[in-house]
Amino acid sequence: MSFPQRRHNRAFTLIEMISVIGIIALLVALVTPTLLDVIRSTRLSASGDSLVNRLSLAQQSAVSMGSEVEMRFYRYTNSSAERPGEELFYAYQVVHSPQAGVERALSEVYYLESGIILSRLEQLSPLLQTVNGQRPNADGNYLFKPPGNAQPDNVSYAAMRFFADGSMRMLTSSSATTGDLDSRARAYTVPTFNKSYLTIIESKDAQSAQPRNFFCVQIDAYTGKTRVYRP
Amino acid sequence: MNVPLLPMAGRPHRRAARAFTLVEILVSLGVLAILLLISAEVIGTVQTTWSNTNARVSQFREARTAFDIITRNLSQASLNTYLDYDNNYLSQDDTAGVSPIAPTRYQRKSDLRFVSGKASTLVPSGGGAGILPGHAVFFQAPLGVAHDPAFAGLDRLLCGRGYFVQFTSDEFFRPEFIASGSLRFRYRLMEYSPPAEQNLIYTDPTVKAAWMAKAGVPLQTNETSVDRSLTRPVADNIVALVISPMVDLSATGATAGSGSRSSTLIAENFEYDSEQLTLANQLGLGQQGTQYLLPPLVRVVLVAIDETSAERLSQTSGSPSTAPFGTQISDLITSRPASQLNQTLDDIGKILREQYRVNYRIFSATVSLRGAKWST
Repeated sequence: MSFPQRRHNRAFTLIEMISVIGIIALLVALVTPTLLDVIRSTRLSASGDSLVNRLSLAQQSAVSMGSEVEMRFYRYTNSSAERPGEELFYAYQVVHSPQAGVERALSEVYYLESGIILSRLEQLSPLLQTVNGQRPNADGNYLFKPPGNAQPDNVSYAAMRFFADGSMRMLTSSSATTGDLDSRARAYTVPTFNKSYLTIIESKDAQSAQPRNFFCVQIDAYTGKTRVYRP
Repeated sequence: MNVPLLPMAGRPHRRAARAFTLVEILVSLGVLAILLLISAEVIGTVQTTWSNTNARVSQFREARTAFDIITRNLSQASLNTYLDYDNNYLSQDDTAGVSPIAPTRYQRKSDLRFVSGKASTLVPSGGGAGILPGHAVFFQAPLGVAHDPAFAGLDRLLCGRGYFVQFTSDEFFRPEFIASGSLRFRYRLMEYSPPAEQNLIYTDPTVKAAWMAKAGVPLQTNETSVDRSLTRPVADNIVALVISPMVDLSATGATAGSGSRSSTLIAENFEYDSEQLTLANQLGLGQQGTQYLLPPLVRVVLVAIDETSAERLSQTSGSPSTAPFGTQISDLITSRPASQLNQTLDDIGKILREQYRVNYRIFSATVSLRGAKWST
């Protein structure tokens, strides 16, 4: 009779349980930051790769349409993001603007993955320094309606314009939407090659000029070719 | 009764306390170690394959885009030929207002130029054959590159254009915030693209080289929108460019009785210049031969390596600014005539594969030049 009784008593003691759980917790704690970093950097690369692809898509549509095609980078506050209070670049879109007041989307809006933004610091994204406020089309509709509670007229955008010869110019003046034909043409200027880049970063590095992880895309304004720098 | 009971009572106790023996632990550790080794090996292989494939895919995507750019622009090359009286008439002293020699015939003329050949001789300020492996091509085409925004819509403006491979660093264009310690010296496919405003083809009608003079000049940091560096990289890690002008023999009607002729005979040593009078009265071309004619076909070959290999080469070749194998490739390309280009490419591949152990890919296509009016 003592036989089954003893076996029944042989369970894990509290100490054993606590130590096992403690070890598991320790392992999880050790692994999680690394795992999170891996996930973040995968998101960063994915966002960067698709940006590069879409830049070349925009350039190629400009060449094949024989017309000017614009890549717009939207800056707005996103209450559901990691930094809800700041105006940051979360999305971009390819836009065709044949004449003043007429804007046609050539692509859907591409959102960067969550936790990933385009840096707005001058050291990291000299291409995104001039922004214009978004204006409604002739029919009163806005091309881009931000998600969450931000209003479309609170969205501002930086832009790069691709031309039929494959070259690129950046938006550097507010006369792009208001002025006459000539001043609208001159609102886009050629950036110098060593200042012609933008950088995708994790939003926790939004204020840092030396981010730990980044995906920097440089565009040669004359050939429209992109090159990528990573840490 | 007590005596037989003792072992009975002790047995369960012993069983519970029986631990693994040393042998058991050693065996299980051994098995575990073997399993770990095998899986580490497998994971390692998978990882290298993965990163290699990734590097190749992205690298060769870039090379393919560059290849498309070359072929698309090259096919638009133009000489804009016209017929005019022969030279005798114009070269005479006409101070009297009357030419002493009457024109004898009409001649094909062109103010533009198409020239291809060794990059080290065609690119004036580029460096030697080690820095400039393979060939260069320069031509005029209606590409519509202009600096003045007022010209933005004029997409048929005549521009000069050139392509060649050059070994350069990224010193002048890499973004400032990226640590400047390690400059990337690479073979790059360079595009020489003066805008229409700076097309100097008409400045010196006898030599027609002024418009090519700035090719190969390194990029400058202080460029402005009206004065920029005209030679710019379009793709990294392109180690050789081969340009072979060709003719479709069946289309010229000259194949009969000339079995030994190959389609590369218009540029057997890869040198082609629309200014030169060659092959006169051959191929049904008349007295002027190929002068002021575009080659009807141009075979374009790009040899690309991947970034991982290039990074390794720059670390193993002593100083990263030393061009690793440009001279060897240049020598190979000049060693054989254009008709044996395929063997040359095999040899280049062999050197890259066996001597330098790099991943490479060869892009080759034959472009037909729309502007070539190949007739007498």
